[in-house]
Amino acid sequence: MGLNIKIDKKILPFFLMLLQEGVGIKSRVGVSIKDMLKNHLGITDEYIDKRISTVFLDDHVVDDLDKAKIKEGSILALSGAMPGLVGATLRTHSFYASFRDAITYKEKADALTEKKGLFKIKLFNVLLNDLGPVFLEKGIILEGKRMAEVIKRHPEIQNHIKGISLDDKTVDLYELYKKLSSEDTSQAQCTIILNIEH
Amino acid sequence: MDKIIRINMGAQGNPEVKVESIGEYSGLGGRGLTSAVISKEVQPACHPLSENNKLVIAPGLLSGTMAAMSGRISIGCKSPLTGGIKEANAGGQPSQMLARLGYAAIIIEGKPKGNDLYKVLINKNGVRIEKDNGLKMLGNYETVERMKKEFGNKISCISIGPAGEMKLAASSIACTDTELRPTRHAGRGGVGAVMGSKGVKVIVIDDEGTAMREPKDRERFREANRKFIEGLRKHPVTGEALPAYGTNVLTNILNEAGGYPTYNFKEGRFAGAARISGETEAAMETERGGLATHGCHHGCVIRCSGIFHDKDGRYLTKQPEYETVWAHGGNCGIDDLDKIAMLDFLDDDIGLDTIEMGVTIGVAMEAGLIKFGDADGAINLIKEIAKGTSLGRILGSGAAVTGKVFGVEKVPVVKGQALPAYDPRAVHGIGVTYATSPMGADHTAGYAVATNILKVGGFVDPLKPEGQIELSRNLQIATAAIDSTGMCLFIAFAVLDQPETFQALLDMINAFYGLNLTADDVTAMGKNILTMERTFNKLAGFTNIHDRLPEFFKKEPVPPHNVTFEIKDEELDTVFNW
Repeated sequence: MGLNIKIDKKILPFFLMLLQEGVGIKSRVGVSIKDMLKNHLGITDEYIDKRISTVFLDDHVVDDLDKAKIKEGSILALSGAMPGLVGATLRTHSFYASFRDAITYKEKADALTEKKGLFKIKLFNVLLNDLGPVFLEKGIILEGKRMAEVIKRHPEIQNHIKGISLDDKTVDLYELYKKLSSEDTSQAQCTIILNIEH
Repeated sequence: MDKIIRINMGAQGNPEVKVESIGEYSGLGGRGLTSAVISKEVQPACHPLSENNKLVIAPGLLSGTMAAMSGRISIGCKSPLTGGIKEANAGGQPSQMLARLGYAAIIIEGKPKGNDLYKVLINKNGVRIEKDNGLKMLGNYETVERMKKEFGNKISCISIGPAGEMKLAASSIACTDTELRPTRHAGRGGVGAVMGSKGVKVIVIDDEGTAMREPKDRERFREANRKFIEGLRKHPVTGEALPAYGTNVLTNILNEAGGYPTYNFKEGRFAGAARISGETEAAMETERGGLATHGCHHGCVIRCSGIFHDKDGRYLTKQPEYETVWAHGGNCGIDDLDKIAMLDFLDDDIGLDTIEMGVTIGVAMEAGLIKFGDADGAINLIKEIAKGTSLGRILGSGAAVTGKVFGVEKVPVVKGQALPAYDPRAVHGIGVTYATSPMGADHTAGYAVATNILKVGGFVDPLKPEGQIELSRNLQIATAAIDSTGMCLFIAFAVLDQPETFQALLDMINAFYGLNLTADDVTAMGKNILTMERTFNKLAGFTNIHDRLPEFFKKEPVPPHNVTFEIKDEELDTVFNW
């Protein structure tokens, strides 16, 4: 399913929450995290250095964004700097890295072929607001039932939706909810592109 | 702040109050002062609930001044939970008010003969103590309401709930916040039981007619405070993440790291984490008309707390913080923030440590008393404690006792105190601190971070595995020192990354007291405190065997990383070699 929703910025936070649980992204795989963020998503070096302080790839804490490579089906999670000793320990290049040596990412793959692929992105805390809109506007992939849950939990969004197109057909929010929550399609992957009216 | 209030609850006839000079304890505050008094004046082998134990309540060195973040209060005693020395600290208003009245500490000693309950009023006219049996078995919220009716709403209160009156080992001492709600707790180690054993229900502090404490060098102090605040505001953790999401911002991160203990430390990841994360909590609070950003005391610039409203938009509790959300949430398989908030409210009202209670319920779930994920069952178990039933008293005695009663092998405690929200199998370094802290398992014992950057504790190579022992040692030293200042530990993040912010903190202390403390002096202070505490514990019967994590951390791998705790016992025994 392909879904295109035009929304008022006011209701953006409800959609941003999808990103903390993770959404699929179609992009390049076989590239380093740094390459992905910078060259494929257009995030600046300065932003990466200053704001993306905690990074996980496939459950492991990453120190070197240039070496760790995203693979088909990988899970990449990005966060700002976190509190607490453990929060500090989990940061990239943390002074306390030895504390979490057991879960530190060590790249085992030598050369990977760069190709089109699918991986999962998770965004946490301060990065949700900063980078969330970038991903939502580029397009995210998730099970239809998760989108249905957003509509069910926040029916007030109906007043701030400017238009919905499902597989190139115009539908209203109720029709969309019915479709996304029906047994036939709730498990199906849905590509969602948000058009945010600023 | 040169006076000490000494209240002898066991005096002939009525409790006796003496106000004396700080004397030999001069220059000490917070944990430094509580641990010095306990070390010097309490027999290490005494029963924690006996007349020989003392309860010491001490503001920090900078409390009551214009210094930002200086509202922590330390409460010390011999712990009924661990059997060793204890310092638990809390935010709220009492620290600032007590300091402005000129008191460096309240020491409550002795034990009343009967079962009468007392309230203490401290104001500019002195100290008054009165019998008030009408307060018996009231929750902290109702107790504070009664004090407001009697003394007005410009007071602050330090109180215990029914758990403290029943002298349960998981009981806390509540301090009121800026809205005069009993939401800030010196939670750990059963300090509430010691207050209950002294027959004191509530201490009311009224600082009307007092002024801010004056520094010796006003200009230098003002400049240092300005730099300190600037440092806190510009740092991404203290200036952005904590104000926006509170400490619960850690849920998603620890979960992603696979170090988020779930189902009584069975797994390192919780499927419902996003439903109880700081991001979700903040959004819910804002949506319901609560607050996602709120300070627990005047002068707080980080404002990591919040106000949690129920579904109908009515106040339920303060924002449950990370440890609470984890203990009652992920650790018990509960992913409903409303139920977790209710558990937080009940803990605050009954006067219970949220970490100890969450872990205790996790152990009860492991025993099959209720199922993992049963939120209503968990609420009912906490209510059992308030009722004082036999089951409630067992649960209110903490995870270790509950594990013994129900025959559970997997009980996550060190020195009898429940482990906080970081699995030591995934993050070994925190396990070193859990195992060796004189306080029992305590995530805040190795929190303050100014080690190699400022050469506090000497230089170590953090990249070597053996560096974990040295790092834990230095973190514990720095934390003991910061715990003496009255500063909220959350300043540690800015201090970690910004040497000038650490320097500003030192400059504030120096300007206030007319001193010239250096980083070496801070190290010496921290070592001195830890040495006192370790010596007390040794005399109370502790050996190196008590500096160990429970056996299951070494033999049960935790998914998703399937790792175990691998620091050797011999290495743990070297943590305090200096």
